[in-house]
Amino acid sequence: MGSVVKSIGKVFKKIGRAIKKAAPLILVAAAAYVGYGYATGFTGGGWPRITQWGKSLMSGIRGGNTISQAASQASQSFGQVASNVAPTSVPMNPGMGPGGASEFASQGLLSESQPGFLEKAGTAVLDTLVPPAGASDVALTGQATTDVATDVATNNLASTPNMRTFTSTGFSDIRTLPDQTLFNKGNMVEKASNTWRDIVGLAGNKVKEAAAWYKDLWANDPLVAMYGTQKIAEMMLIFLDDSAEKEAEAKAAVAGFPRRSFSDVMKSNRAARRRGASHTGGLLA
Amino acid sequence: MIGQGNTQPATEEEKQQAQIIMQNIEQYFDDEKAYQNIVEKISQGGDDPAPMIGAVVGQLLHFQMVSARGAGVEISRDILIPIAAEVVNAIIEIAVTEGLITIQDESQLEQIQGDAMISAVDAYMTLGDNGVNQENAAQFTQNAMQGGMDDPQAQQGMINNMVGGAI
Repeated sequence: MGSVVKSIGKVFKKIGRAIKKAAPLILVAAAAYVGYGYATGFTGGGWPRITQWGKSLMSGIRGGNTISQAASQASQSFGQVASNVAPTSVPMNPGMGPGGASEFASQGLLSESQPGFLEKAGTAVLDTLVPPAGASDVALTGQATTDVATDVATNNLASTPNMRTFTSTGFSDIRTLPDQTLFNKGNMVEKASNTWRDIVGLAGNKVKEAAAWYKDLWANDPLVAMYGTQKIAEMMLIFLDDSAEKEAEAKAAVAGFPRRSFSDVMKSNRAARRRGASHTGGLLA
Repeated sequence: MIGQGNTQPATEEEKQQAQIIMQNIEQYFDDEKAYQNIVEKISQGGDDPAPMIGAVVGQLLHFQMVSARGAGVEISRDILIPIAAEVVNAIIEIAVTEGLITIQDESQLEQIQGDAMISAVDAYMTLGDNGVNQENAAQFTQNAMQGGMDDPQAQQGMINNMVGGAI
């Protein structure tokens, strides 16, 4: 078990010290905001649009209210429009405010088991996963994303260390890279720094731009590209427009229930089954 | 960005992770081009810089998380919020230094900090992280909304360890 907001007791050495630290209450409120997002319908359809609720919460505590008071006020003002996804059928806990309730779905937004990953990604992401000439000996098409980075590391660039020995982000200083002239930490930090710069630049861009950027990254900084392959690909997925998929899903819903949920309901409804009903609407054979 | 339960001091491993993440981000800020990129982003925020500051913070932390995972290290989600607060402050200072914003008083600073934290969470969670314990996060929120975090004692651990902390 972790804690909500662990105290790290660290600050930057050079910057940020002239600014007064954020009050602990702000951090706790930010933590509460995360949970509120889950409680208002974050079930794989995307992070809900609850920014106004969060701002109201922060405004409330700035005004001297307790967190519970500020949250209650925020919910009264913005709870009804908090979610961008349909509320689930799970009864809402009164303490959660009027924004809806959550099934606490186990999958995250970019869960590896998210259905239709490759189909959804289309060729744009697959193209970016295939390293440029000279770096690729393995066809990656159809692979689970969890394996991509490891395979690239172990198969495509045999002279480089595998992912677990890669230290450019500084998470494993005790390891020694094979060619210090090429892979020394300072060099990699510089490249990683460039990558972060580009990541920042990706904000709001479309996936095609991200794909082009990532192709260039493979050509110019293959090691940096290597360690980020899996998750960068996942990140790019969020830039994909999934409105068509959501529209199709909405059309397929039955009486407001997602297909799967309705099916499950009927399967568990003994009385209905005894009468011969099925979730497809017909009589059982 | 969070786990569950109480505000309590981080473990040694979590502190080490926090230190490395912040070193990485500080090195990022040292990059002249990256610095200019951030300045440019913040300047796009107009009269309300908090959303842009938060968006940059959320993305920076997310990339730290995915990079670490790619390297075989799983960062504790429990430390991300206090780290985010530090990064928010760092970028506010950059914005002030560059003349993009002027902090008139403490209330204004708290508003920027708070709204930037909200935007940071939005950015981070929109990018996605299936390592966050959703149930625990929601339980914490439920507890907070029911008054469980209203008592300053509930935040004491965090207060003791964050105020005045330094590398």
